[in-house]
Amino acid sequence: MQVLNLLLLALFLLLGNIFLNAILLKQKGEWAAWISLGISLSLIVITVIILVIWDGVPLNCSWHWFSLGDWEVSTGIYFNNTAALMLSVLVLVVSCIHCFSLGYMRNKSFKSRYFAGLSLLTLSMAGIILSDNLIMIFVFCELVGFSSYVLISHDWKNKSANIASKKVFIVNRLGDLGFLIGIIGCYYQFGTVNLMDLANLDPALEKSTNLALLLACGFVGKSAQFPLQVWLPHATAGPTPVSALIHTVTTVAAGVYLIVRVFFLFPPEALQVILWSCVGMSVYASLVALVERDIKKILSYSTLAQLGIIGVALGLGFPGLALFYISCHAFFKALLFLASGSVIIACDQEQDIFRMGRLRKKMPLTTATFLVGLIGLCGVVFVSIHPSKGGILQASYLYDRTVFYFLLFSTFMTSVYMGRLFWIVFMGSANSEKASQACECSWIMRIPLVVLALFSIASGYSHWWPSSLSSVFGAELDQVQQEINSAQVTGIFLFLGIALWVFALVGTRYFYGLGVKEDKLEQKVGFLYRFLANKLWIDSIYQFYVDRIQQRIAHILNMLDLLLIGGFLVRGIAVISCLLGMGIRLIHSVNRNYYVYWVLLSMVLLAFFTLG
Amino acid sequence: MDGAFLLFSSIVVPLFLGLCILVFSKTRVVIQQSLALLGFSFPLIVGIFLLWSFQPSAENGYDYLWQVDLGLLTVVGVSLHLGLNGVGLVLYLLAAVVGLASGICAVWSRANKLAWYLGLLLFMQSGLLGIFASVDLYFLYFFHGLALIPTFIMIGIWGGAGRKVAAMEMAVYLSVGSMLSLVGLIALYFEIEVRSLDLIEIHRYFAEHYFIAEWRDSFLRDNLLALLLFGLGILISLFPFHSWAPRGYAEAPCSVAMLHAGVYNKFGFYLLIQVVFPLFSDRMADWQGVLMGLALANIIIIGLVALAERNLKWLVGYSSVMQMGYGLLGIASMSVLGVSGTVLLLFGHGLLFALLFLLATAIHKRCETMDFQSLGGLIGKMPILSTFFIVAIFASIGLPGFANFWGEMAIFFALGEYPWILLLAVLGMIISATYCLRAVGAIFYGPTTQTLEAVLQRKKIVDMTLSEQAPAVILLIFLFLVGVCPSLISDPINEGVSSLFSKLIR
Repeated sequence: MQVLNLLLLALFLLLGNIFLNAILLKQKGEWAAWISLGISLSLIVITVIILVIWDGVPLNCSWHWFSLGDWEVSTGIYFNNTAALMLSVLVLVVSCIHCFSLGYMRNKSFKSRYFAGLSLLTLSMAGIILSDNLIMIFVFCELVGFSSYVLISHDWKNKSANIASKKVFIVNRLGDLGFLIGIIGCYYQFGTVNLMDLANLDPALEKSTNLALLLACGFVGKSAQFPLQVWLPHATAGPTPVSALIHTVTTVAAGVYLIVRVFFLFPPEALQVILWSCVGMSVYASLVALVERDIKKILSYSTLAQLGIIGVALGLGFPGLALFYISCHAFFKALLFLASGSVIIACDQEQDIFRMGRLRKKMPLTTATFLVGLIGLCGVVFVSIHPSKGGILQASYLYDRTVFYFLLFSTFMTSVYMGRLFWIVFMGSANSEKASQACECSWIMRIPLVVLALFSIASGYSHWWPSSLSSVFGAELDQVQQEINSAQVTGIFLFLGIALWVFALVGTRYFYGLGVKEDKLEQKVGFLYRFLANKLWIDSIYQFYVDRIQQRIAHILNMLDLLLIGGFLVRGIAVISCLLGMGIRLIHSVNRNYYVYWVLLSMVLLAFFTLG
Repeated sequence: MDGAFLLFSSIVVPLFLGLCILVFSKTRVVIQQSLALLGFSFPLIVGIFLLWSFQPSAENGYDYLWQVDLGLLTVVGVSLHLGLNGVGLVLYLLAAVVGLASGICAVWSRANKLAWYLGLLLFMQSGLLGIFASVDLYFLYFFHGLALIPTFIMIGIWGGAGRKVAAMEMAVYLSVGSMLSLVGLIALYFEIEVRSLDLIEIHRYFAEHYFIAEWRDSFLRDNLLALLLFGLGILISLFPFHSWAPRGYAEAPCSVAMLHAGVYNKFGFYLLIQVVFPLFSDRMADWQGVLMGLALANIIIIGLVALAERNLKWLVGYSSVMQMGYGLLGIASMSVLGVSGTVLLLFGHGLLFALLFLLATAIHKRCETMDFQSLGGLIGKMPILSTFFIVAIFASIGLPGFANFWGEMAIFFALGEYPWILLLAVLGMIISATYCLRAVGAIFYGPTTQTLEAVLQRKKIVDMTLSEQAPAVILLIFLFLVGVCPSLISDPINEGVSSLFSKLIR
């Protein structure tokens, strides 16, 4: 019961903070910032207490909310080890991002709105993590979309942020509504949307592939998989700490998490679909990342690629590994984003990597922490998070060799584009006025960088996690390890693990050179560059649909509505009644002559009817 | 205190105060204003009390019954019979809340001939309350007229530039719609043997005679239903009879638009739920396809029309019409859940569109334009107004935490048996999100144009005044309360809908 009370306390703290910031602290932005930081830190304390006193038994508590007809909506908490894992990672990363935001938002307006948005995003993610039924998960998914919209459009004068926020909300909602249809299907098929009840269903009951794929729409929308991946790179138009939050523990993690929550509803056919679409995404995104020039977009495409790898883990039937990797990924990707935020501030809002250079000398701490993140992302053996990404690679080797080769390629490309980024941004010579005047960020922004770097390094060691958390992925990790050992391919993996990143990093060092001003790939292999820069025309297709098809139809319908229905029909009726009125007025006319005609006419008619 | 007497007095008090204001129109403005405020706030207090003490009788689902024989009872079976069942109570409360909000808006509106404005608005308020509190169909139509006639007058006198056309179009459409449905109801009166327009009597008669064969197959009954659906379809701005709505709302003065879009256009739905659907539930099945098709046309076609709209008030008007499609879809699902969801949605819709028209008028007053191209960057100029508007527009596209969300969810769940309809209805949510966000982006974000800058400097009104904030806050509080705690009104809705259907659907 204590655990439950603490969880509720955490949720209400966040809720209280939103109201406090949004309503009371409009003028006192500085207060709002510090209070939010305090609350996010207190969430860490609460989570630690929960982990200490929790006995590991799943906790479920449900309250009836309201009913309409025979449709009952309840709300409740289902706290098990997956929820504990996600919650712990969430509060850690969120606190770091709050801390970084304090520095990032200095001298900016509408601070309280910004921090209220951060709290709302955190609250909705915590809601998704803890909810015990699908309707509540959907409710919080919608709130995630809304808070992302508010945060990304925070800089309201910026046109690209404006467009991006719209795109983020609408694309997210597209996925959510597929998810909603899935929930309704669930309700009709099984008569319940409660996670516990669904899990306890008769295992002989046939799992429906359509239903599973509809539920997976939530994952496709939130975790930006094909064909809804377009929103994630655009989401970087918002403030950098917000990008860090969206790309790690909130929106994209929500998609993966909600699949894990209903994993028992997924038949093999549905998993196969997820597997291949995610393989495609991981290869596609890592190729596109190679030709991006914007530092945040490179990281964003890299997130897409990693989400593809996580989706592969789901598709192979290893939800634990997926959660493990997304937890580790959260630490180093947040670190990379915050470090890039520090770079962007130092270079006065410059985001083009070819206008940076030589930041190693100016910003040693940022460079060092960025390097830690890079090592994590590349999956360097021995050093860092290798087991999490390596586990997925090994699993794919064991269960589907073709997938394994694709993943290997994607992993290799990860090292390539990260190498390109690192050599160009941090080494060589400064390529612009702004870059040459860069200096290290303020101390309050350095703290989260260091903390996240430490966690990035530590998180890879699965036995360092508290046992209540590592139970999520421990068994699957051990199983994969054992099978790899018995297949006697440990050596190959060790070799690959070293060779891939060394080759990629050294190769990019000599291909691109240090701190260059132009993209060597564009100069040397132009056709490849241009092909990749088109991103398979997916964005253009969407743009074409919206501008040329949807908007055209809308304009035509609008015209028709005004002309035909509003104008022609209504006016037509008006004209007819007007003519009738004129005719009838003749009857009552003052002119006597008309009466004669009327009498004549009526006599003729009378005669006609009586005789005929 | 006696609930029935309170119900009666809540309808009479605004009417009486309205008359007082008209009679003493030469007195000081402050007196008129305070009288009007009293007239608008009294029904809300009563409404909250009635909601709190609502205990429907098991026999007919009504509470607070109050019958006065005006000498017509024995002759034609007509009497002033007031009372509320669950559905009526919710809509009565809606009328009371929106009435107060629009009243506050009107009291400080600085309209010409304020006394007449307030007096007519009080009549309208009294009529709207009376519609949902009448058990007798004759008086229901009487109150409907009391609400409708001031609307035309007020649009014609205090409306915007195109007010004459808008008032005429509205008058023609709404009179035709209500006349057609009235003809249907009179035919019904002659068809049944009780010779009464009392809803409780009619329902009782139907409960007893429902399975008599000649009733089920009568030719008249088919055509009656068609007539009623056609008439009520016009009233609920069903496609293709919707064109009066956006124009009328755009030209109407603020308070009238709020009351009309918020409360009056629930009248058609109220009759559908309270009279047509229970009495014709078996025949409705034949019409289900048509109704669903029209409702989807409302959602998809009007949604697309709104997507190309460049004028904020028209956009809000189209958006209101579009949301009505969801309400009809709930009824067309022919299930208790769908109808309950519709009532919930109507409540949310009423509050929300009253709020949106209030805010749109506030923007219009400041910027003197409603065109997207000439607006922009308002969030920097007037943060409070912008925040209100953004919250309201998100509530309209179904943000959880506001009443509309649960209404839409209930309707979607009710449509679970019709997956393709459900898919199209859900697609409508994307369309509405698209046009709403487009509007928000164009109006509140981005740079401010120079002409707008000049207008704003000349006007010198910066952000929302207190008299604009108060009604907005009242509406938002109710939206939020019902969104967070839907059982406040879902319990009476359940009572009402189940009492309507338990006797008839067996």
